[in-house]
Amino acid sequence: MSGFLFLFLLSVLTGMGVGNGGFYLLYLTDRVGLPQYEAQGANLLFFLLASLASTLVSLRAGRFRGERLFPMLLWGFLGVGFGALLTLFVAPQYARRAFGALLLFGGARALWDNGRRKAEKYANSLDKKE
Amino acid sequence: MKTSGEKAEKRRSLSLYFLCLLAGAVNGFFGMGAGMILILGLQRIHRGGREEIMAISTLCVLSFSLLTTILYFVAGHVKPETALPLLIPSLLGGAVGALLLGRISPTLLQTVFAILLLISGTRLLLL
Repeated sequence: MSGFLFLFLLSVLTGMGVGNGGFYLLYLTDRVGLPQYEAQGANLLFFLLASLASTLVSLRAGRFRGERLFPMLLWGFLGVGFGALLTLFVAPQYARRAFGALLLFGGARALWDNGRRKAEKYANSLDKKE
Repeated sequence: MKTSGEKAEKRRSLSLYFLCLLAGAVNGFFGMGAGMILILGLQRIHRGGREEIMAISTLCVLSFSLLTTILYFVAGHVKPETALPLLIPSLLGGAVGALLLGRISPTLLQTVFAILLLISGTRLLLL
């Protein structure tokens, strides 16, 4: 049951578009004991299901606009092909370390952006008062 | 002769395509991570509101993950039997998350996300 609840909560975050921050991958490698690339495969299935449900809800809410969407997807597919090819040549332990570094960068960047937005908001509110 | 507005639009399009290329490559290599790259990038490049950015990010993650899953399956990284226990909680949680979109403070959401990233990143790097 705790596994079900854990997956459900991570899926809620994924459904809101922010992803699960690598927690599911950690759960699979550290708790379940799956090898790195196999855990990445299971993580993909999890993402597929959670983002499928979320995309259907967003589609109904009419959140998709813009003629750029199709070429954006095509460029992304090209990138996916390149990235997947790399998994055949890079040892899993390096992939794990590189992913950790990417997450740290992403986390620091997100916190920095948040702080900057808050500071801008505060500065704007002071301007209005004056 | 192109106006400066047209040039800026072209630059914006090119930036969006490069962002997607990068997000796709990250997703293909790590099996995830496209959402993080897209959200951080789209907030700077795309003109839409936060809800639209989150929705576009989810659609791209879905499409990239679908292709990555196929390629991982071919490479032998995906075991179909692992999908079954994921089915119900993932579908339920994904739908609930999309319904909650717009009702939770974006700042709070981004802070939670940043903390998750920092914890996971540190753990992956050190252990």
